[in-house]
Amino acid sequence: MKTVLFVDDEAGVLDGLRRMLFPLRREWNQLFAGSGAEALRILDEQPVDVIVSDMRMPEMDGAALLREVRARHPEVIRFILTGQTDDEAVYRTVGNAHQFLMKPCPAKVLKNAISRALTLRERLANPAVTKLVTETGELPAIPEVYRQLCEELNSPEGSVANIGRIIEKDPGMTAKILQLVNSAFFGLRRPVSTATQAVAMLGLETIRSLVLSVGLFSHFEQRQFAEGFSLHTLWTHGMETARAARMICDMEKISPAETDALYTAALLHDTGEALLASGQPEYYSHCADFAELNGVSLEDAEREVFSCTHAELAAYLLGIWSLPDIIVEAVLFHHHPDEVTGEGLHGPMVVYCADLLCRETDRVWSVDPDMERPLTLLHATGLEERFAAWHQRWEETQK
Amino acid sequence: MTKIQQKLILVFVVAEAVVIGVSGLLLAVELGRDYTRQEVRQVEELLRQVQGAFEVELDGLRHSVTDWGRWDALYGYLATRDPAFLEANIPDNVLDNLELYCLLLVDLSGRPVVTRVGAPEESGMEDLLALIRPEGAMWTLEGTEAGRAGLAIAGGKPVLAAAHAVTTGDGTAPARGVLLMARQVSEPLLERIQKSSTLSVRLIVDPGPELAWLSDRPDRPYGFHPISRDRAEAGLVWPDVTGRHRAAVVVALDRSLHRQYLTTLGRLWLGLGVVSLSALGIFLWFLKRQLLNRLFGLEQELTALKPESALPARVTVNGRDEISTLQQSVNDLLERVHTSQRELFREQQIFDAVISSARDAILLIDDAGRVVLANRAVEGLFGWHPEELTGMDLHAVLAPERYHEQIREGMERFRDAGEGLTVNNTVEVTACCRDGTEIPVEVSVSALQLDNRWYAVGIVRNIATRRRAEALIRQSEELMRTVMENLHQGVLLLDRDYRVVMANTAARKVRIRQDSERCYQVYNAEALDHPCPGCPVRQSFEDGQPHETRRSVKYEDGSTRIFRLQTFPVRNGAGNNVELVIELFEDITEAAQQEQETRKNQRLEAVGRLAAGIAHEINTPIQYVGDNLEFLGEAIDAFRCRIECGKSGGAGDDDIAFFLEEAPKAVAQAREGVNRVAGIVRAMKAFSHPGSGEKTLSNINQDILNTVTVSRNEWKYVADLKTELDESLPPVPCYPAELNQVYLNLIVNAAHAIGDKVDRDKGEKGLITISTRLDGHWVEIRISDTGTGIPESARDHIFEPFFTTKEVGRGTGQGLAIAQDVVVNKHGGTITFETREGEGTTFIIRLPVGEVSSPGEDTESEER
Repeated sequence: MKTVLFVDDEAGVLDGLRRMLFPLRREWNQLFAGSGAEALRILDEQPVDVIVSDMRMPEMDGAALLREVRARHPEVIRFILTGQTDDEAVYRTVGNAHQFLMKPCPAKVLKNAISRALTLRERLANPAVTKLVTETGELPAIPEVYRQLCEELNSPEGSVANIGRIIEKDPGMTAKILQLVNSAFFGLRRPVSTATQAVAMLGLETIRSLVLSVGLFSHFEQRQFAEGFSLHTLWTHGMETARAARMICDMEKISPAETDALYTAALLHDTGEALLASGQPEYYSHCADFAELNGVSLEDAEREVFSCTHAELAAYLLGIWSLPDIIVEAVLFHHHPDEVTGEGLHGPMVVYCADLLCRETDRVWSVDPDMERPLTLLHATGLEERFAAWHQRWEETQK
Repeated sequence: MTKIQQKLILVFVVAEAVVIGVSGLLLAVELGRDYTRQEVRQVEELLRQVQGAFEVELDGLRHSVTDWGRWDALYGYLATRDPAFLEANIPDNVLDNLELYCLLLVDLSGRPVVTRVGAPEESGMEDLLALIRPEGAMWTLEGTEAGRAGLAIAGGKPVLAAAHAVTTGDGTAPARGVLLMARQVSEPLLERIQKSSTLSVRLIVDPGPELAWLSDRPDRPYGFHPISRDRAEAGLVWPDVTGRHRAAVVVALDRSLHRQYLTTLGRLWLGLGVVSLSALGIFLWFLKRQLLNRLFGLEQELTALKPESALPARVTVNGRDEISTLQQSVNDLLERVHTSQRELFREQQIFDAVISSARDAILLIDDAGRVVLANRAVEGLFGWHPEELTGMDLHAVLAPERYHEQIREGMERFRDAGEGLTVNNTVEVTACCRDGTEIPVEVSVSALQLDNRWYAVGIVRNIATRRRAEALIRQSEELMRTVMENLHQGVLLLDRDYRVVMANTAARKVRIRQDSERCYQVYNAEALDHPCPGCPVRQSFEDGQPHETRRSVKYEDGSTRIFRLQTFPVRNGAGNNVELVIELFEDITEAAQQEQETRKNQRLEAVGRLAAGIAHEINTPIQYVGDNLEFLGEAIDAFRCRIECGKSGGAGDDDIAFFLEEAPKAVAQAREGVNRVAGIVRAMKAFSHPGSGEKTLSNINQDILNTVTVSRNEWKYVADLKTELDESLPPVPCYPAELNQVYLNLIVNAAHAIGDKVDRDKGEKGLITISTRLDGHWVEIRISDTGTGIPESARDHIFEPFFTTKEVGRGTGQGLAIAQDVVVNKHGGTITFETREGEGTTFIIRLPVGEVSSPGEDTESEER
């Protein structure tokens, strides 16, 4: 049974939650703490999967509590449930909270958010890897892109459009900004799925203060990556794939909203690799060796070594960051679109094909040695012809 | 040897000679007298000895004659004349026995009876007979008791003679004759005498003139005749028995005393010389060592002195006497000399420095116009090196050629009288530089006379810069004027009578009336006869400070414009009197409207911020109201299921028990939440009610409570809030919405001040206390916090608009400015504060209770 811990200084809120969640008492072990200190004590005593904390509390507030939880119990998924309406609260927790939920939060939303995070978590059997994801506050950004962003932000002529375009180049920054806008804090009816939209939502001033003062993005080369791993190559591949995904969507006349989402999904599809390469560099290297020695796909090697794939890892991260489901799904299944129930050209398939197109042209570090499977897969879904057309167009655009 | 030594030695040699001579002479004389006395005594003694020896001889002779004379036999003989007797008693050789020269017996008639005379001469017989002849002899026989003896000269020879009357043995019988015996002073006699005196004695008869010395000294009976150093003679005249001075005794003697004297004298002289010479030597040595050496040392040190040394020169001081005093005096003198020298040197240096550092060229010329002295500035000014210029004709070099004739005439006059056009005057002339360029210079010339010649000192200054500066000043004045004329602000310069001294175009444009020069007349539609009330110009004249105010001016066409007036006092140079006031005025009609907008916006902003807080306040109860309703829904479903389907379906007994227990609580909590929300909304409504635009009677306490409620989220995390409200407060006429704004601003400030101080992580909380009370005709509202207090530096500024110490985004700096405006200007109240850094601040608002009427529009526009 999963354990969920609620923290709020208002006894009424805790009572209400307890009563509301009464029907789920057999699914979740529900714990309630009246203060940050009590919450930490509970965390020390027993394993907790999700913590949901109020923001403004006397003594230790939500931001401080989640910072402490992240340091002491990185495996815990951290949510904020707040009635706060000013931006500052969000900024203060931006690195430490995975999601922001607004009071009043309908029972369904709260239940869904918690369930979704727990479901994603269940897929990952390796606690070390799980920890890797929840520990992560932000994904590494490419220094060059980050520098461009700062220049643009400091420039008096900086525009929202330019900033959106710059952030879009970097999967790390894109993921982070999408997490921010998709948090319930902004109270959006529809999830935002592209960086450009997110930037437009936040506005220039907010972005400026988020990036320059709050330090939204991680831009230092402080992380130790696995030997031979190049973040730049990986992210470039992400961008290529994203372009390819957009091309496919355009050719197949997929709706603009879905196109945007799939573009972002393609951009982020390999973020799991970056997590592994930075969080478990030794194992990650080992994984590559393993794949080469045994002649298996990298994915299989990952499953062997980490008990999960980079796709699952990325999906977990993006999931608890509350990115739109369509993105999470496309990322999760981007190596196995056939596992998705659904007909024809669904999201994961688009990302899969875009990835394929890019692999044919690019020399990516993690080349899938087995090209047999993709062909049979395309054949099975009847997309062989379309793929050929995409391939042709892609070749043309590459020239 | 130095001259002084020579002189000294000469002097001392002479002195020595004199001393030795005189003392030697005195010594000789004194010693000589002494020795002479001794010699005299010696001679006298000798002579006495010789005399004594003769006396002894004479005594013997006398005894013999006496014996003979008193011999009875002889006496008888004379009576008898018996020859036998003669034969027996007086033989011929009796003379030999008696060592006599002769023996003579004379009877009373003087006829010799017996004669016995020794050979070889008998011529002396007569002389002897003469002695005893009564008529001619000194000796008479009568009465002669004893014989007489003495020296006699017989036959030219000295003899000793003695005579005695011939009588009986008892001497009583009458004399029958005289007996005479003579003994020749012969060699044996003399030898006998010599033997007793060890002297060579001579007996001289009838001494010649060569023996005159015998009686050359009447004061003594003898004479002394030194013959040589060794020998001398002494002698005395010896009278014979008849008293005639016919014999002299002369004694030769050895002058041992004299020799002794000479030897002694010689030795004394030698000693004296040696002592004197030693004394001279010692003296000279002492002189040299004690005196001359030190003097010479002093002289050498003085010769070796270096006058330019930095320290005062000194000579060695040794000993403690007049010389050391002299040395000390020399040192003192040297020091004085050094001091004065240094002063002189310093003055010289100052002079040099002044001359060389002067930025103006300084030139000294003689009466011929030649440069005697030029300072460094000359080079900068004219391009001539000062040394090059020295000796040259100044005017030929530096004056442009066209002036040469004029200068020559002037110089002639100067040479004669030391006068001239430029002398003792400052003139501006043109000078010619080395490179031929001409520059305007200002020359100050003064004349001075040295050794009957005239010299002129000229101080020359380049005035090209000054000319340029003057041009620049003119230019900048022109510029200033242009700037002023083109300013859109009106600029007025007013004197103490409020007369317009100067006005720029903008100021003239605003002018309404033309019939006066006084500002309060020309800038008002209706002429006033006194300055406008609250005139800032008057204030500036009175207190010397800048002032600012606003004034609305009604135009004839009915329009009203609002001006901002700023005045700045202009003080005269000497004292503090404000002579003029500059007045700047600007039409701020639009800006004033803008300002009102801004104020409204600030209120909206505050409400907006409150809204966020209120949202949080509301969201929290709504959250649990919703949750509880959700729960109640579930509970109702469960109950319905239980009612419809019995025990078999749906929830179990445990669940039902839980629902039964929790449902009433859920309802109560939901109600409480709803009431809380409703209260907040009510307060919010009351708080933000815009009001009617006129003052209304309002319950201050209720207003404060509403404000506290709506601002709860602003303070509840940092502080507790306590109210001490005076229930007896009367309703106060006010603009409640605006005052609410003031309370809100102060509460938010208090919360911020506490938030800056308390450590929220430790759960610390401050306290905000709001109290009201009635104080006469005033309502006093105190809002206290336990926050940081207002720093000293900020206290004077807190009511200024846009002044804030908070970080960006936390405050606009308008809050207290608006509070002051609302309380003071709109309500005629006061707002003050008491603060202590680190302990907290209390804001005190006092509102008048009585006055209902509005202060009016005028107040707002005229006073800020």
